[in-house]
Amino acid sequence: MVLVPLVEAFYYSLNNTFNYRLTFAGFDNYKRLLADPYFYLSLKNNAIVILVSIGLQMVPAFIIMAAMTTKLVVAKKFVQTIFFFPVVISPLVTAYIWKVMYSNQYGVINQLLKVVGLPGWQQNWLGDPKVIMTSISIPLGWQYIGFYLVILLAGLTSIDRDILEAAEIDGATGTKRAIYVILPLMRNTINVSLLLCLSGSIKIFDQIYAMSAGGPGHASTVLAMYAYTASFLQNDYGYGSAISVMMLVISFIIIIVMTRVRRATGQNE
Amino acid sequence: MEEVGRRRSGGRAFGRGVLAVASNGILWIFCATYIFPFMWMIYNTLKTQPQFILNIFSLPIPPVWSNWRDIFSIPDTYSALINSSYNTALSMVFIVFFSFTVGYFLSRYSFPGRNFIYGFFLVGMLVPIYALLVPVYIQFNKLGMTNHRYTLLIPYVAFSLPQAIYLFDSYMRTIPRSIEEAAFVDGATTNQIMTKIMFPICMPITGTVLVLNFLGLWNEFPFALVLVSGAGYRTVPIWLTTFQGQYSSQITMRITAMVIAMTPIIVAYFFLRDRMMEGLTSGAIKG
Repeated sequence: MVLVPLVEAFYYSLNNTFNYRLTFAGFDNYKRLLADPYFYLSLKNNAIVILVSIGLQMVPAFIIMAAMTTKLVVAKKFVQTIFFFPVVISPLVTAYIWKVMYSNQYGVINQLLKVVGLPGWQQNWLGDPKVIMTSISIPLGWQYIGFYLVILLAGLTSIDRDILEAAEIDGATGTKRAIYVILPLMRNTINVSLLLCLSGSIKIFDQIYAMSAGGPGHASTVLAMYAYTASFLQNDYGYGSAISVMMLVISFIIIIVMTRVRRATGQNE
Repeated sequence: MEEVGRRRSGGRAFGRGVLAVASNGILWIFCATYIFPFMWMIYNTLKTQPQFILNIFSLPIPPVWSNWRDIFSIPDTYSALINSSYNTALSMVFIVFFSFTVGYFLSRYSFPGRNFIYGFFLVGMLVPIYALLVPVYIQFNKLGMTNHRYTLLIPYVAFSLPQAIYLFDSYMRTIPRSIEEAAFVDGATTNQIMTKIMFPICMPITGTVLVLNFLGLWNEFPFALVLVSGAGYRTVPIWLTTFQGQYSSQITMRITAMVIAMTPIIVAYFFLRDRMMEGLTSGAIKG
């Protein structure tokens, strides 16, 4: 019974975020934060990441899952295994792999484009501020599609087989069945997945650090990356703490919003 | 059922066939994009740098082992692997120990403050730990605790506890108390009940907790980056980043390092695949 207070005490102390500077400065850091264009840039990038995550991770996962419910697809277990593989690889390693593939001199991507006859599409994937968010999004999507696929597949088992078959007999094939029958019945699972996806996207750090370190310039900085840069590279711990606190606040806001929305749509049934 | 579909779609049977081929085809191409990068990386570790530059796609014939030899001749490699293993293994032991104990007391006894503690840990699961990176670093610095053997153990264990406790607690609640009561009547002490009865019963969930944490801790990056930057204590992910700077022109070396970093996970995935899938997604499916 000595264990519990020990753990508690430590954990609680970890929860204390300071917004101090070496001299006490009250809310100055926050004022600075709210006026900081880079902060809003990070926010915007985070928002892009969130949207991309939903679009590139959950949507294809759903499509693949739906495809797997029809009898068209073979070797389901195999597909599942392959897709889930990148999920367990460290996001850092994934980012490095893609970094090598994106590379200008040795890059697989650029070479492939040349071979296929699209030299015009080659670019400086990681060096061009305009393209960088796209470049980063691809590995993000790639890595976690399998995660949502497995979740959705598991959620699928909660739907009665009879309903699906009845729908098919009534003439609802493939796409129709997916959208009008499967989707609504999986509402709970999808909600939870969405929540996971959102909370994961806000925290993203490893991949950004590995692929671009927030660059070029600040073009791909996200919140966590910005907190890191401010605290450790610019030695401005107070500011970094303020950013961290903002991250916490934003996370909580999003979670609360999501729960409200969930309750609201749930009650509409 | 299949026949009903076919009868109704008569002339569309051909369409269905094409659709089958097309969808399967697309799916397989998709799968290829998953397998290819890893294959490419692995066979590229067997090329030398000039061979690589010549043609990045070609297979290494004959395979050259110089990259592997060179990497393992650097002491950093060994210390990184040892550090990661040490941190991960010890943390896992502590996590299981603490979460099992706490989970046991939470699920079996009610005492004042029990709900509070339970809620406390539950909230702990919600907090994004990256947000705590800075404060933790500051605290550790003030206490002079960075760059030690045990530095990383503390946050690793502390941050993994909420989820582990939750898992143990939920699992234990599903176990009927009759076994314990019988043992109690037979004169067993609490200690004995815990270790000899509950623990073996909880093996499945212990397995899940171990697997989940192994994954998370081996790959853990931000805290390792920030709290342990000294050369002797680096973990594998950090070691990997050194390759980007020092050896950036030696791409084959970099790739070899990445393969080394991935290997334990790949091996674990191979053997524990289902357990991993189950564990990682269990949070989402419980509804």
